[in-house]
Amino acid sequence: MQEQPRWRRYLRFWGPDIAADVDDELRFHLEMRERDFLAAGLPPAAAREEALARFGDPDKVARWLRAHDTRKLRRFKRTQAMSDLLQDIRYGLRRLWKAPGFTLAVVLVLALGIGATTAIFSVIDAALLRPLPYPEAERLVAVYAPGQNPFSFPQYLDWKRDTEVFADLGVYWRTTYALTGAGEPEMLQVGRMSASVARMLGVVPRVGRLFTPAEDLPGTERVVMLSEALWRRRFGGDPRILGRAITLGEQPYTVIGIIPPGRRSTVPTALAAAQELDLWMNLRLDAKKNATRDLQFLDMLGRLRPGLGLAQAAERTVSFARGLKEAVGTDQDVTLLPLERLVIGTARPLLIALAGAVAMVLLIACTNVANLLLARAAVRRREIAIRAALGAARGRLVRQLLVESLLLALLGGGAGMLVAWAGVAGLRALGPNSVPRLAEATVDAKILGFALALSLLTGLLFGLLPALRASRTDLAEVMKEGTRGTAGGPARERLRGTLIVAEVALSFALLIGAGLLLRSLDRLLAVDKGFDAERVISSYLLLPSSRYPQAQQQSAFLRELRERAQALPGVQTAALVSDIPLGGGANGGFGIAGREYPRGKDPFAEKRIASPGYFEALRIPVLAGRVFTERDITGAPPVVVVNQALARRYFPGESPLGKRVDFRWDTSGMQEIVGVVGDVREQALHQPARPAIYIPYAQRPADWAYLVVRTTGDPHGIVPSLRRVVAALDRNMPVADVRTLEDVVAAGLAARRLGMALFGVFSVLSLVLAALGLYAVISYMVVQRRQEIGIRMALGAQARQVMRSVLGQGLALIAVGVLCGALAALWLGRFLAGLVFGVGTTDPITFASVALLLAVTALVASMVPALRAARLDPASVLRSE
Amino acid sequence: MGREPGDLLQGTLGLLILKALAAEERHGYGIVRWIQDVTGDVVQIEEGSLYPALRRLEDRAFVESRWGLSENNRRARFYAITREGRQHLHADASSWMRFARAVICVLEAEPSVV
Repeated sequence: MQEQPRWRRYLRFWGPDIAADVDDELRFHLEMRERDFLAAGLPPAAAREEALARFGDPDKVARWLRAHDTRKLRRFKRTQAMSDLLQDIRYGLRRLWKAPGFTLAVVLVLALGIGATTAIFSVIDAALLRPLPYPEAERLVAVYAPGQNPFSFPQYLDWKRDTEVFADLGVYWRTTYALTGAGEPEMLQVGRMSASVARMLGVVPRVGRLFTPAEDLPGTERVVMLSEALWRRRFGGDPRILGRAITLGEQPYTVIGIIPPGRRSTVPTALAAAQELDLWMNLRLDAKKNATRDLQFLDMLGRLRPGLGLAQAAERTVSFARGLKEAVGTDQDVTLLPLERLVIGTARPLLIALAGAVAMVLLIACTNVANLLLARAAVRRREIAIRAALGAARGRLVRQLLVESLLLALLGGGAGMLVAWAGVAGLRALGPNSVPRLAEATVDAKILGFALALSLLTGLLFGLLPALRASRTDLAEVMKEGTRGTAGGPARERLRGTLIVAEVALSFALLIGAGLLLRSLDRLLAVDKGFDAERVISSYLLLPSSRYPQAQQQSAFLRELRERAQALPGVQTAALVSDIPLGGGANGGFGIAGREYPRGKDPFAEKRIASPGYFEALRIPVLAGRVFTERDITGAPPVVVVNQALARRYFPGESPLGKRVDFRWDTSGMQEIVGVVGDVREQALHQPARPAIYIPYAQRPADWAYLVVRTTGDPHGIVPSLRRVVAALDRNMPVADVRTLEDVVAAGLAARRLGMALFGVFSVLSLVLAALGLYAVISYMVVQRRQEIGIRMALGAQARQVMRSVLGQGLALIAVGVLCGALAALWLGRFLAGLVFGVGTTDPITFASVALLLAVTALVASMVPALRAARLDPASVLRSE
Repeated sequence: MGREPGDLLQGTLGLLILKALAAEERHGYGIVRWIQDVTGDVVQIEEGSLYPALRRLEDRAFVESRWGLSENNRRARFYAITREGRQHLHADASSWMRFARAVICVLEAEPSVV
């Protein structure tokens, strides 16, 4: 036997009252001394005086002793507690080791719950909680025209004068440039920005310098900063690149700096789209060339004056906008958007819904484990009762059981971290462009801390109730129950029933979420996009102005390109368009002949430039009139085609054919509407089509185009021949952004698919857990009722009746659970409102299917124990009792 | 050595206590009485200081204590020497004896002062 630690010896004399003990000891001393003096013949008064004189100051000594003993007792208690805890942990571990099946089941359930929660938390942490990578990001605001629209250059110049609100204001836009002259031509993602934007982003160049304000102005040198990735990829990381010129869009640009990799190396809108930039370019915008207020393409970024809140700033911009309106005439309202709102944008509701969903999964896991613990506690009642009878304090018993559940939780948490780690990796692989900043999600120290806290919390959550319940065990009652005494009594059964109801309700709510998202996705896939994406591939081409300075050359190149592509074997239709559907594009005001609109209230439309064959290639239906032909060229009567939305909006009750409109995008004069085509969702799948005008390339030349090709076979198969066609026409022109339209459609659904997939996984998980829980509870009830069932069968009950009675118990639990779940789902639906499409959050079909699914699951889960009950042999049951 | 005789006695209080307990366990007053009897009341310690000294010895695990009944059936705290206490007593007593003998030698050297 282990030697008893020394401090245990002290336990014997430490009573509850240190002060009394000290007084007793000292009084005993004084009285003994006094007695001896009396015996030696001193008179009583002198004896007492002499005793005190010999002793010194009893009060002072007593004070010292009391302080000393109190300190020592406290130290002792701490040691004692630690030792008890260690003992509890050892004991708990031994018990868990002896029940490997139970332990494994609990750890697995917890690992899934904690792992899923941690993984989702790490995504939320990256997207919502971690501050944006820019310095003083809380003072940065995205400034937008109403409807989150960008600005024109004159508007930017107006707002730059508002120094009351903005300490710093700048503009940027994302564009592309072809890099040539060093190997394969490549299309680069470019952020063109004012010096102030580069400053606000707070990037420190690895080498070189940032832009200067002078470089915002037209006529200055063309300068760029390279991303480190591009620098290494294309220039071998050569430090002598500084000051050298590279060729972008056929123009020389001087490299002035290298941007280190990292999260500051990109502009907010690129961050929101989870995109990297290859290089930064100075603004160099000419006010004269960009004088029109219709050309809105600039993203504005501002830094608020110190001490100015968002609400105050917004208020002040209103008065400034009023002044502008008087001066300029058009509406100049702006909205200030905190930068994190811009970056997270639409992903926010999804993340919040996911957080809720994963919390429910965790709750279900906890409930399940609590149920397992309750079942185990029922088995351990005798052990606990005996320990209580042998003098274990109730607190100690509760602690013992809590330590056990905390151990389980920590084991589960440990395994959960593996799940989380795999989950985060999986999420990043699954949808790199679905949630902004997803790439930043990692399992770091903070996440591990979160998982640990979560484990401890869950341990308390699922452990406390069973522990308290088990410790309240009445010894006499347990002993009376004898060997069959694993019964929990009605209270215990009610508790387990309640837990099952909670589990079912939670999984019902989750399944509703998954169901609604599934139906939304289904509806979105069924949405009439207005075009047929199948077997269409698109690529982007940019014509450098150095070699194609004139409209004539641009038109000639594009026509030649289209004709050669059309001639390729395997190509059904080749056509050009200025922007492909589902990605937005140019839009603005247009004019209608014979109608006057107040300034700023002009008719508004999406504007596209298209070649003949475009509507055919995308199978956009022609509803009236005709579409573009090869005869719609310069010199021929100017024509446009409009969509149905425009016809309905601006020409209600009359035919738009023959009407004349002003396209107002580098065009002069009026164009005649010659055709009406079907509506195409130009913005996004879930956004209904807006009015749109199409103009032929031959009559409104442009130096860029998307080449869209409908193929007869696999669209990817045609890409090499397309590249050869382009290279044959212009060796230095990169073919960029090669995607099938089906990929374009899928990319628009990525976030929804991710959300759906996660909700799906969570809800299936919860369904399985609930089914297992139900199965366990019903099985347990059958064991409890063995004797009763045996008697009933002996008295002539049919197997069918027994089964029905057992199934009835399961179904009753499910029914209550479904009811609670339905109420919860009705209430929780609001959090999904921003995510569903085409269905209400109270969609009766979803509710009915989920209820049915749960009912069937419950039936299956109860069937096995019910069958077992029905097969009981009454004779053997009764004998065994 | 600037030791006053009083200091010497104070410093050796622990030694005296351990010696008092070497034969049997005693309560605090018992320790005082034993020292008084053995020295013929020559060594008079301030009795109050006995108890802090006992606590310190206990902290160092040289003595241990328990509540018991005194010879006149009163509740009293009894102290007993531990194994470590005995070892310490042995070592301390030897060095004290050497020191005392050395002092006696010095004092008895010619010319005699006593």
